[in-house]
Amino acid sequence: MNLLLPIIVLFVLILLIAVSAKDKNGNKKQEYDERQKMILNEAWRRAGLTGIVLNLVFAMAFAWSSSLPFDASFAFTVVCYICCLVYALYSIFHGAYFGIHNRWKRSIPAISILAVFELIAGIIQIKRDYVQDDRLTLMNSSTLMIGITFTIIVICVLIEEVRERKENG
Amino acid sequence: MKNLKLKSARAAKDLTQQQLADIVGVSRQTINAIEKGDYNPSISLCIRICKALDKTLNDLFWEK
Repeated sequence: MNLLLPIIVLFVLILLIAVSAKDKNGNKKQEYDERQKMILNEAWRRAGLTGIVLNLVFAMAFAWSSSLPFDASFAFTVVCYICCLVYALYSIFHGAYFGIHNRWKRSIPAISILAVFELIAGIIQIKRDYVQDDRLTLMNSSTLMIGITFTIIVICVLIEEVRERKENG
Repeated sequence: MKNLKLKSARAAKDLTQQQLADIVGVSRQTINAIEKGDYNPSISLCIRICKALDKTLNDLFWEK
C-alpha cells in the first residue's frame, strides 16, 4: 500500500516527460545522418566492451571473495546501467543524441524532477532495507541506481548544451 | 586536416553551420566535424554540400 503513492507519482512524471517531449512538429520523424550513425555504432561497441570487462571484473570478484558488500543481482544491474550510460554519454558528447537539440531539451526539467525523486526514494529505500539485507541488492538499491543514472545524463546534457552554445556563439 | 575551403565557402555564402546543415540534411555537428577535419564525409554528402555552396568537389575537397 505504501508503494502506491511513489508508483502514481512516477507514472505522472513519465506522462509529463512524454507530453513535454512532444513538440509542435511531433509527427516529423528525425533521422540520424551518416556521421551520427557511425557515432551510434561506436557507442554500441564501447558499451558492449564495457559490459564484457565489467562482467569479468565482477565475476572474478565473486570468485575470490564471498564477503562482498553486494550480491550478484546488484553487480549485474550496475553493469547494465553503466553500459547504458556509456552509450548515452558517448552519443551526447559526440552530437548524436536527438534529445539534446530537440525534444530532450524540453524534457530536461521533467527528467531532472524524476532524477531527484528517484534519488530521494532510493536513499530512503537503502536506509530502510540495507540493515536487514546486510548488503546491497537489486531490490534495495535499484531506485537509487536509476536516480544516479538519470542525474548523470541530465548533467551531461546540460554540459553539452553549454558547450554547444559557446561553440555557436 | 582542417577544411578551410569549406569554411570560407560557407562564410562567402553568409551561411551559418546550422543553416548549411539544414540545407544538406545533416546535423550542425557533422558540418563542424567536416570543417575541423574530424570526419570524412561520404561522396553523396560532399556533392550535397557542393551544390548548396555552388562549388565543385575539386573546389572544396581536393587537396593539392
